Amino acid sequence: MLGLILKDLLCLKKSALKMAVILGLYIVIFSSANNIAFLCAMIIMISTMLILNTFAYDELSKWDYYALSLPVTKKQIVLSKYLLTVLFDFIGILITLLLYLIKRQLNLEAALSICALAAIALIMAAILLPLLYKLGTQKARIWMIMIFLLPTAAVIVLGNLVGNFGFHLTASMPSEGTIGLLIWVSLPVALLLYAGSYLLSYKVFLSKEI
Amino acid sequence: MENILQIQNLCKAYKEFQLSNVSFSVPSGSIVGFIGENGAGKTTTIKLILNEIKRDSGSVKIFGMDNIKDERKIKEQIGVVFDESYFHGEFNAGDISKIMSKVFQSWDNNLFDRYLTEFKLPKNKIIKEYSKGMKMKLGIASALSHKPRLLILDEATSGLDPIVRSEILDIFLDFIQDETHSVLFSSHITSDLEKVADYVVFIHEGQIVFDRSKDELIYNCGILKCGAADFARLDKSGFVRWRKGECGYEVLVTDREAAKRKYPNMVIDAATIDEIMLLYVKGEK
Repeated sequence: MLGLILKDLLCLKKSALKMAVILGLYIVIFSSANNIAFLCAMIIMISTMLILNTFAYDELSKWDYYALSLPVTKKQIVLSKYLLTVLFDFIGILITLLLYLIKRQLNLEAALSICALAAIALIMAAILLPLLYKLGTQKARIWMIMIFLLPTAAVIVLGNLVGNFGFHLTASMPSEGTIGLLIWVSLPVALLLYAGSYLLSYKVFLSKEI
Repeated sequence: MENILQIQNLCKAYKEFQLSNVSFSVPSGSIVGFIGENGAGKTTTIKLILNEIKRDSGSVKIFGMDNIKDERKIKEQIGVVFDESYFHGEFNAGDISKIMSKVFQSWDNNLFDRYLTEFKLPKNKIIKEYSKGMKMKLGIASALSHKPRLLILDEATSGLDPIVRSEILDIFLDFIQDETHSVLFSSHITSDLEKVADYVVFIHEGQIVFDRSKDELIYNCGILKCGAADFARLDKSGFVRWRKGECGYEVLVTDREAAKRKYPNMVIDAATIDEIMLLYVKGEK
């Protein structure tokens, strides 16, 4: 299992530098514009892209076919991708956290947006990964764009709601407390979805004739 | 002699193709050649052995264990080489070693390095820049570096030049010097098998046609050549297959000496595995 994760990390070694540069650039642009929420969306997008890349590399070299001749089970192959996704999301959250710290904005509002970020990242992966197993990277890519559009909008809206803008609209919007609660609850829900998604992907992969 | 691999009545049905009742075994200390034309069922059989696809029925025992129940234990001791490299093109041999040492408990980095030196494979060059022969050798090096007892080769020498092929065959011969090792070698390059195989298993349209010792096959089988007029007069009961060529008939007989005694005036040559395969597939009965 460790070998599988290591394989994906080595695989991304080359593109990692490019990604780091892009990410750095975004950080500079958006954090100076005080728009960490939008940056969050960017971070999710990049980490999801990286996962998609590992799938594309696997497809290109028919890795799964070879992997199954090694002492590695189908369960481990699927699980390794899910763990890797969590790892990337975790790194993304860490970066966001650091940004808030640097900007000395780490307060309840920031904690809420980080929580929302984690939930959205997990839910997106929960949708995307089974699609990748079922359809392959080419077709799943199109789906990914659609999956991205919704949460990117959601992150911005949520970010604004939680930010100063939302507080003035308390009459027509749910109260600050309710939104907060919703976000806190969304994380365990996302985790559950993610676990369910793993089982689904495993089932798809198991029935696939490689 | 103990069987390292034993397959019994293996079946797998697809819409257009069916593997039916495949049975054969690989005794320890031997190389078994697995031959058949493209699409005959060689790769399907190997995929079933490796539990990459689900079998419909039958059993596969490796080292005396069931290939599904004890999958991981078995795969720790198997080395597999396919017809192409399935490593990512961006990797170098050093990356492979890093990954494999986490995959196999018994992976030996020093042994891998020794193979790299022996095969003249540069450690820092990326695989994409390797030649086809180098890729195959890298596949073999990584299949051997966890000290497997069984090597499974799926067309591992196809597409390679004769010099690289002969080098690779030497590696396999060296591997079975240890009597507890064996090799299952699927190929349609029958001349390679003539050099190294102890047994030949021939699969055609998803069924095993024969499973025999190579020496017995080559020494006993013969091709009787005769004209159409002679052929009409012959007793066809001892004939396995025949085929009408441009200059008369070619007939496959399983007992060359007996056929020579029976037809002292006919030309009966030794048969190569190629000719035997060809007559089985294209010949009439």
